Order: sequence, then structure tokens, then C-alpha cells
Amino acid sequence: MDDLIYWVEHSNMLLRRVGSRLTEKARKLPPCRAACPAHVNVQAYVALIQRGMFKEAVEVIRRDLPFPAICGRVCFSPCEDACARVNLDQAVAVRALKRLVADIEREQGRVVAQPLPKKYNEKVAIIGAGPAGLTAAYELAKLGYPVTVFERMAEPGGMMRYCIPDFRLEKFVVANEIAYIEDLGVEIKTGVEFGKDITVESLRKDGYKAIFIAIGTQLGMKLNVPGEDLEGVINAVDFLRAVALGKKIAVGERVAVIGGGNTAIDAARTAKKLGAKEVMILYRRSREEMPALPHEVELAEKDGVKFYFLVAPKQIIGENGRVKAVECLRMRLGEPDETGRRRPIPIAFSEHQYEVDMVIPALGQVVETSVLPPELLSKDKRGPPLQVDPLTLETDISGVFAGGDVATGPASIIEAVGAGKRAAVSIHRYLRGEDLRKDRDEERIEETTWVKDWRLLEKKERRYEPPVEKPHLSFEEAKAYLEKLKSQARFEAFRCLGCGPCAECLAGMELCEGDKAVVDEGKCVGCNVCAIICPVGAIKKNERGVAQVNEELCKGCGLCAARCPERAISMQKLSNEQILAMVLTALER
Amino acid sequence: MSEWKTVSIRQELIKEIEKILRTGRYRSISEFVSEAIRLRLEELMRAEGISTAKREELLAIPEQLLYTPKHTWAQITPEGNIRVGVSDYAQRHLRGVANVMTEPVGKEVAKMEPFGVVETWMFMFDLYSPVSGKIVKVNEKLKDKPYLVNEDPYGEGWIVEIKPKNSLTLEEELKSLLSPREYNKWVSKLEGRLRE
Ligand SMILES: Cc1cc2nc3c(=O)[nH]c(=O)nc-3n(C[C@H](O)[C@H](O)[C@H](O)COP(=O)(O)OP(=O)(O)OC[C@H]3O[C@@H](n4cnc5c(N)ncnc54)[C@H](O)[C@@H]3O)c2cc1C
Ligand code: SF4
Ligand code: SF4
Repeated sequence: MDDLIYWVEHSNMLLRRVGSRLTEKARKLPPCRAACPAHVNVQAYVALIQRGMFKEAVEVIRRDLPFPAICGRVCFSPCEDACARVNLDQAVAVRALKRLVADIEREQGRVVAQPLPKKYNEKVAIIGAGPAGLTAAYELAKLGYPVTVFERMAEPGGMMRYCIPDFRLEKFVVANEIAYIEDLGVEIKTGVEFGKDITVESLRKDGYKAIFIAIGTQLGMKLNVPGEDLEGVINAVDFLRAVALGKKIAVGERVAVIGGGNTAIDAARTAKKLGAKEVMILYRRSREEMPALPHEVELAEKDGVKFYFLVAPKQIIGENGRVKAVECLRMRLGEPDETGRRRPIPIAFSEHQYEVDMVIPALGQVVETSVLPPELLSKDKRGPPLQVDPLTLETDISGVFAGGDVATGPASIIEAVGAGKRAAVSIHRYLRGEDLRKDRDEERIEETTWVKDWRLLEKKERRYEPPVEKPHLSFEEAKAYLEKLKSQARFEAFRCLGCGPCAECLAGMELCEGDKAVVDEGKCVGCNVCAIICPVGAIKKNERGVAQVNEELCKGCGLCAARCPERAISMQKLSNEQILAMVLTALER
Repeated sequence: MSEWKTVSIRQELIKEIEKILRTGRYRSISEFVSEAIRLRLEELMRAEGISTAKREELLAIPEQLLYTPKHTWAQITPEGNIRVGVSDYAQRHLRGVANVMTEPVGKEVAKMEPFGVVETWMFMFDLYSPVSGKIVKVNEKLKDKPYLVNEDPYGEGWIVEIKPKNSLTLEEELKSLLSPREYNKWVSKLEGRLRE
């Protein structure tokens, strides 16, 4: 009942769903959606969650992103960083909500998608089954192309499958979301190496008309200090990959992880969970400069990982070919470098040692250039190894595109997804002989929020945090618990301000078309509330002091109608019959 | 994509609705619409839920098996081992089985002690052993296809086989398990409690 009351209180927000789709050139998007590299329609699925329409919410997410459950777990969530609500209290718990709706969908049974019809016969080859490659395949399959993904490893998923540890992202989650893509008709061939088993030429010969290279960055960077080839030194990505492959790894008693990124944290936590007595992270700058997410750092500390800041390894000392200690230099921070972080400067004669029996360098990854066709490699050795057009992802070879980590350097899943989507658009245009650059959606995005005065809004703290660990429950408890989560999630969703002009959600589509605000001039007192509230500036007072709607601009969101104190505005162009019919059925019950 | 069902209008009721509109319960037509959409969708979802429930056959509780109150079943195999799985009732609560983890082969387990967990997308459920003994076989198929637990809980979705400690205690232990009829009763009782 409570949430019904809450719902009624906020009904003005719900009205936003009754809005027509955007037709103009600029795409005005809420900050969350604009910030998301895949432009997932956050506002719409949050709006659907408000109404308890969890299944539809997942459907909305899948329009832009094939990995709702994966991103619901491990996305770095740029949407939350951009969320307008931070001006007031905290961001809406967008990622947690995504995870919840995705999980609830699967909790009710296996999800099997129907194969999509093939509209075209130009075959497309995708190299690398990481998030970039798989998303491109997903999008191209939706467009109607026959797509084959070639993957070197035994299983698809890229870093999501082989590097992000199980305790953050369960393997079955990755497997399920990829199975969904395969269900749609995408073929994934594993155990095929590009540069060895297949090449651009061989694929062309086999009839592939376009190629997308998304091989990521697989090689761990070297420390470049003496002693690196001692037994007991293993690179973070190799270490995590070996664990994911189920290889028996003897973790040391005392482990030093070198680096300050998320990979370092993952490697350290994994080592700890595998039974290392003491795990330390050695980082050459201070805590503030760490690229790892603060939340992840906290979890690592909870797991008992120790942090040593402002230290850099000078050499690894061995005994009988095995690691015995790392010798480090202390650092101090100097002037900011080109990344804006302060540059560490070694302090002379500050050598000291940490006794360890395992060293895990986690300094980042680089592109495996040896598998790429030499024509694609850039001559400039200092820049990125592969030159691609940032908008279209074209390479120097016509019909060959590249994107994801391979082009950007190690980044994130959602950026890789964004690249996959871009590649799909480019490949579609390329194969249809269209201009690759003209009027691309990515170019037209404009951020918007209707809130102009934050003081008018009420503060409401976050209501929903996902459980850190899965609870062990009996069936009865599980049922009650799930209901509780659902209602918490709905409350959380109501924190969303609905920044964009229209949520473009599924349910609204057919109902919204043509709905427009109409002012009853006899009732209007010229209070100007509507003009302030309208997210698209479609209402202005005219010379007689009466509100006037600019029909061109009006998106039919209904906000003004809900806010008008005199009830002078109604949303009349939605056919009355339709409205009445719906009201009717609602009242019939 | 979700399908939208259009509703046709009944002329004779339009006036009624207009009256309600006039009471001012809603501040605008669009507020009305929004509420109506929500109610309508909830209704549709509810209707869907009921029809699927109807379609489902009755709970399967095979006669030849014995059950624990924790929803695991026991079956004696030709080799004299006890095959263990979860019941249809349990399976219905575990729609999203994502992973089945058990103690390894060779491990001793005690009656009514957990020998593994079924992991769904959101929860963990402990599996209780119907007998005491040693695990001699684990269903390897569940590694790749955990959903077999849902599709065939009494057949391909079995979970482990346990070699009983000795035949004397086994007899005792089997006697204390629930017969299909007793299990059925137990389930109805639980269902009643769940509905409350
Ligand atoms: C330890 C770790 C933790 C991370 N945690 C997160 C996180 O929490 N959140 C987040 O958003 N991001 C995280 N990332 C980053 C994220 O995983 C990557 O940015 C993302 O996976 C990049 O996607 P991609 O498709 O470009 O490349 P990849 O995921 O690397 O996929 C490339 C694929 O190509 C295959 N391949 C490579 N060479 C060949 C070849 N020659 N022939 C055929 N196939 C080939 C690879 O096997 C791989 O499957 C993490 C990365 C690491 C290493
Ligand atoms: S308040 Fe809602 S619509 Fe606005 S940025 Fe945050 S999540 Fe997006
Ligand atoms: S005038 Fe503005 S606030 Fe009113 S319905 Fe149109 S877009 Fe929405």
C-alpha cells in the first residue's frame, strides 16, 4: 500500500511516459543516458521499474545492451556519475536496479531467445568474442545479417569470461548472456586464432564482406626490472586467466601485487581467496591517484589485502630461481603529468625489501600486435598501435573495422559495447553503400534535465543496495525476500527525476503518439508553472498573459497538465476513445 | 517487444467515465491515462500469471521415491546406492537454477546435513542428504546444463549418488523419510503457509 501512496505522490513523473518519440535532429537525452557509451535508456527502464514492470525493463535494456546482468554487476556505471540527482543527494542506484531486473527475469526460468530472420546475405566476420565483438554481432544480427564470431579461446566472453573473477561476475552469468546472443542466430566459432588460422585475406576468400577486429588487449605489461623471469612472478592477466581456466595454481604465502588499477585489486583479492596468507598491493602513487574504484578498494581491504603507497619495485630478488623478495624505492609526488595525476619521483637511497614468494605485476595490458595485419599498425611507436576513426571505427583497409580495447587501450565493458554498436552501424552502412558519417546518432546527443531549481526538490536517500553476497535461504524466506527487494527497487526507482523529455519506453509508444497539451484559456491564470516545468520549453506566456503551447516543440509528456494548479491544461490529442477505453477497463475491476 | 492490446470501447459506459472524470479525482486527462495504463498493465500481467499457472500440470511426486522435508528425494539404484535429487516442488521454486555445487566424490555426508548448494540467479539453497554415506557419483551433466534440474528433476536432473554407510542404518534412515503421500501432505501444508 505504501508504495501505492508513494506512486500517487509522484504521479507527475509517471506522466512523462506519455510522451511522443523525439523527431527533431538533436537527441535530447537525460544525463545518465547521454553519459552511457552504449546510451542505454536508463530513464525508461527506471520508469518501468517504478511501475513494477521488471520484464519490460529488461527488454528496454536489451535494445541497447546485450549484457544487462553482466553490466548490472560490474559496469563502472558512468550513468551514475552523470546522474542529475547528485546535485540533490546521491545518484539513482542505476546499476543495482539493472542487476535486479536482469536477475529477476532469470530467476523465473531460463531465457531462450528466438532466432532472428536474416534479411541480407552479406556475411560479416567478427574477430574476438569480448564485449565489443559480441555486441557488434548482436546488433548486426538484429539488423538481419549472418554473423560469425571467431574466438581464440575455448569459450567466448573475453575479459568478462577469463579475467574478471568469479566473485564479482559469476561465469554462468556470462555464459547465459552469450547464449542469448547465440540463440538469436549468431554463430560463435571458438579455438580459431586470427593471424594464424584465419586472416583478412582468408576471410575475404570465404565470402565475408566486412570484418570487425575486437581482439582487446591480452598481453600484460612488463615491469622492466631485473628478476622478472624468476619463478613465482606471474602477470595479473595470466594469473586471473589461469584461475578462470581452473588450473591449479600454487599461490604463495606472501604475495605482492604491483599496480593500482582494478586489475591489481582483482588479482589481489583472488590470491587472498585462494589462500595466500598475506597479500599486499604496492602502488607508486598515493591512494588518491589510484585508478581503481574506491568501492573495490574498500572490498579488498575487507578481504584483508594490505596497501603500500608511494613505492615502486626496483628489482625482484630470487633464491634458487624462485622469488624471495621485492626491492622497492620510495616515491614522492611531483608535478601532474599529461593524465592529470601527479608524477611519482623516486627518492634516492630509499631501497627497502618486502619478503614475498609471489609477485603479480598488474600494470595494465597492451595489444598483441603480432596477430594484426601489418598494414593496420601505426608507424608512430608512441601512440596507440592501431589507428581507427573514432566515429566510424574504420581502419586503413576498406571493409575492416576495429574497436573496443584494441583501439582504445584497456577501458571498460560498456565502452567496448559502445564500440560494438558503432561498428555495427558502420558495417551496415558500408554494406548498404551509405555514407558512414552522415547523421550518426552519436553526433547528435544533447544532455538535458528539466530541473532548474534544485531547492524545490525533496531529498531522498538511496533506498536500495544490492546484497553483497547471495543469501542462503529456504523457499519461504526467498519468496518474502524477493518481494522485499522488488518493493525496495520500486522505491529506489522513484528517486529518478526523469530528466529527459520522454522516456521512450516500450509501454508508451503507441499511446503517446500525437498527445499534445492544450490550454483552456478561460481557466489559465498565467501562473507560469507550466512554462517552468516544461522540459522542452514548449510553453510560453503570450502577450495576454495566457499560457500558449508551441505544438511543434511539445512532446506530449503531460507534465504541465499534471502541474497546472487551475487544471487549465489537458492532453487532448490522444484520442479520447483510447483514453476512455483504458479508463473503462481499469474501472471495470 | 511487448505487444500492446487495444481495448475497444463500450459506448454505454462512456457517460459513466465522464462522470468520474468530473469528480476531480484526477487532475487531468493524462493523469487519468497514466493511471489507467498502469492498472491495465497490471491486470494483463495478472491474467497472464493465472493462465500459466493453470496450464501447469499438477505437482509431480513419483511413487517409487522417498522424500525429505527439505525437498530432496532418494532412490535406490541397482548397485545399491542412493541417488539424490530435488523434488518437483523444489524445482518450481528454483526456476533459475544457474549452478549446482556439491561436495566432491569420496566425501562423507550425514543424513539431513547439507551436501551441496543449488545456486540460482539470486539465492543459494542448501541441499540436504536423505541418508548417511559417501558420495560416489556426481551428475557431471549439470555442469553445463544446470537447468536439467528444472527440466527433469527426477530423471536427468539427479544430483549425486551416495553409497550408504551400512545396510542396518540405511534401513532405519529410509524408514524415517517421507513417503510420497506424506510428502504431498507436507507440501500442501507449506503451500498454505506460503500463501498466507
Ligand atoms: C582483471 C580485469 C578486471 C576488469 N574489470 C572490469 C569491470 O569490473 N568493469 C568493466 O566495465 N570492465 C572491466 N575490465 C575491462 C573490460 O573487461 C575490458 O575493457 C573489456 O572486456 C574489453 O572488451 P573487448 O571486447 O574490447 O576485449 P576483450 O574482452 O579482451 O575480448 C577480446 C577477445 O578477443 C579474443 N582474441 C584475442 N586475440 C585473438 C586472435 N588473434 N584471434 C581470435 N580471437 C582473439 C580474446 O580471446 C578475447 O576473447 C576489467 C579488465 C580486467 C583485465
Ligand atoms: S535522475 Fe533519473 S533521468 Fe535524471 S540522470 Fe538520474 S537516472 Fe537519469
Ligand atoms: S507543453 Fe511541455 S510540459 Fe506540456 S506536455 Fe508539452 S512537452 Fe510536456
